[in-house]
Amino acid sequence: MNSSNPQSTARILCVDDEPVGLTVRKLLLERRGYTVETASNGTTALDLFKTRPFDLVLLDFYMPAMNGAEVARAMRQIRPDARIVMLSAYVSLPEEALQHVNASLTKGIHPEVLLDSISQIISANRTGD
Amino acid sequence: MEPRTFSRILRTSLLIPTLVIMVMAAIVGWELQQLRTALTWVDRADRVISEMRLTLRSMVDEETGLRGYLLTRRDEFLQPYNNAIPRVETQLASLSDLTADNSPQQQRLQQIRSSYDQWMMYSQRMLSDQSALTASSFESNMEGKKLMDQIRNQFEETIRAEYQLRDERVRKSADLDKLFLGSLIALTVVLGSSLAFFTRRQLLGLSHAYDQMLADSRRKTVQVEEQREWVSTTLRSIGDAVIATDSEGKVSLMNAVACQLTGWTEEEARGKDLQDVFKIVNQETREAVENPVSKVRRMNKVVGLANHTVLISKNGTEYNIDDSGSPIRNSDGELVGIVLVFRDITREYQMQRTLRTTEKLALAGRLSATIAHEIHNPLDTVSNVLYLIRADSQGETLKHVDLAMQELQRVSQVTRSMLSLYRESKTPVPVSVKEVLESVLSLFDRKISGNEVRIAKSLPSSLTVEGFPAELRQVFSNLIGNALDAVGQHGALSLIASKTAAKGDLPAGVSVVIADNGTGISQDNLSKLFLPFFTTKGEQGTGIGLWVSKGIVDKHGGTIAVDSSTEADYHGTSFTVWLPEKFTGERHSPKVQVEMEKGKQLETA
Ligand SMILES: Nc1ncnc2c1ncn2[C@@H]1O[C@H](COP(=O)(O)OP(=O)(O)O)[C@@H](O)[C@H]1O
Ligand SMILES: [Mg+2]
Repeated sequence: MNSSNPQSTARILCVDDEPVGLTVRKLLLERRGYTVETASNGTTALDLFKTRPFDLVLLDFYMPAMNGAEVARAMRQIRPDARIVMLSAYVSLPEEALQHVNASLTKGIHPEVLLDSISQIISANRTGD
Repeated sequence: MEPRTFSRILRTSLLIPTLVIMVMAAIVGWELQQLRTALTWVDRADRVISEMRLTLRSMVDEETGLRGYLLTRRDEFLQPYNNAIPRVETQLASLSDLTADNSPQQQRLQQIRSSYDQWMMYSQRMLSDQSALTASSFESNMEGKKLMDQIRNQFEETIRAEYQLRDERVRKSADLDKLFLGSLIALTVVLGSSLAFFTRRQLLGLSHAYDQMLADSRRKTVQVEEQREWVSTTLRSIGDAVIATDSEGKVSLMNAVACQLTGWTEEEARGKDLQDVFKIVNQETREAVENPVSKVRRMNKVVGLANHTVLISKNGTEYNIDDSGSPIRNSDGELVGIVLVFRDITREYQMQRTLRTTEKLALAGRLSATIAHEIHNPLDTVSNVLYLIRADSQGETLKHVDLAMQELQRVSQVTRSMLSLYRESKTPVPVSVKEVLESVLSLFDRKISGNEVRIAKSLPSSLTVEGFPAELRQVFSNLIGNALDAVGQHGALSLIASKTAAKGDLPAGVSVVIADNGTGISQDNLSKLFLPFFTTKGEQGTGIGLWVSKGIVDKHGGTIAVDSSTEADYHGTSFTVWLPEKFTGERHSPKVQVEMEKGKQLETA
């Protein structure tokens, strides 16, 4: 919708085990002009992450088999400069869980707060280039 | 010595002398009898002698009469002769009677008799011979005289013999007399000395027994005293409180622990009713608990007291106690008293309560995790959906969607504040003071609007401190909760946060003042405020809020101070929490401790 956004070409990988939440979040991000790919678990996400580059990964923390913190660590092992935002239903996550992410947000915050954080992190990336 | 032995001794000491006296009386009686018989025999001899003399005289009378007659032939001279004849006969008969027991005397009397008979024949002859010549002839006179002399000699001999007999008898009786006297004296001596000996022995025995009895009782007294001493020191050394009462429930013994818990000294309490000294109520209902004395009496066995029993001491201090009462019985099994043993379990009780609180917190933590997941996921989706709808809306619909989003944000805020109370990070992070206070306030939204409490805030958003957000949230929710409790309806609260510059050793920080116009805190309570379990709210309060808050603030290297007034026209309380900007941990440098002391002074000011 906002085609003049310099970030419109940015690619985001969205990971969550909740299909409804994932679909809606994808819609939200696409409305902002991002290109979004989704995965419903850590393994699928890592497979996608290996095959193509993403400007940002939006990770749910609580997922069966592999939680967000484990996925983040694995991604940083592949690409240490990977930009990752942790999204969690829990108000506080243990310190260790946030070691390999750029930011952590609580689910249920205002969508604009989420979008702002994402755009900040991506543009920081761009300026850093 | 037993009383039975004693009375036996008394009995024998009476009986034996009585027996001895009876034996003595028998002996003396027998001896008296002997003496009397002996004297009778002497008497008999005397009578024999006098009878013989009389007989002799009668015969002489006959002779004199005969001679006179023969000379004068006058009948009046013959009168004595005739009178004497029957007298002699009776006298001789009586003599023979008297001497019947003595054959030699009988023989002599026999001879006298025959001599007398000869004389009688002579006299008859003389009387029948009427010739005065014959009668007065010398020969015939000589014949009569010879016969009479023979009689006289025979009598003399018999009397002598009788005298001999008498002498013998007198001697015998004198001997008996002597024997009697002697034996009487001997018996008296024997009796006296044996009585004396016996009595002495008895008395000695008695006094010995008495001495022994005295020694015994003295020893027993000492033993009893020692035993008493032992029991009472044992009771006194017991770590639990002990109160003993008599069967009426009057206090008879109290050990030191009991004195300490009840606030009574043993002297004061002795003889008082147990209920007065040992006041117990049910912690929840505040109703008096059944008096243990009547309970023990009723159940007639060892009884424990009901749970939640509180002992109210003399000065009003309350102790949670755990106790039991047992009957004291004498050897006959009668109830003579009751002994109560109890313990101060206030600490255990509070520990249990803390444990329960901690358990509740743990449970709440688990619950919050579940709620977080189950609420935040749909909440997130709904938020996003509303945001998408909003982009396509205009006019009325846009307004409605905005309203919906606003309300949804409130839900999100509340759940986040609630859940954040139970989370903790391991390292301190920058915390926005404003955010913390706002999120705490939102927890009390209902209470604030319900009680129409006015809130004045001055919370610059720039203020941050390093720390543990959940813990700091807990501090402020305790302080704000207490303030709301204190103001009740229509009260006012002010929350003012401000930056404090570094000064000397004290680093830069943020001070937060939470003030209320509530009831205020009394001087007495001010000093106990930060002690665990101090609460004036009864079951509604836990009394750990301020204690925990102080712990958290200390851990952050900050201070907490209180100022309060209960004056009628400006009552209220203000708590000041100061936190350093950079997390340094609990401060131990002396300078800072001085500062904290100042804070403490404030607390108690
Ligand atoms: N703002 C206040 N105004 C009046 N009294 C207070 C205030 N804050 C604390 N108190 C007193 O301090 C006591 C202890 O408080 P706290 O430790 O939070 O325990 P609780 O609130 O469970 O009683 C309270 O019971 C109350 O008497
Ligand atoms: Mg409280």
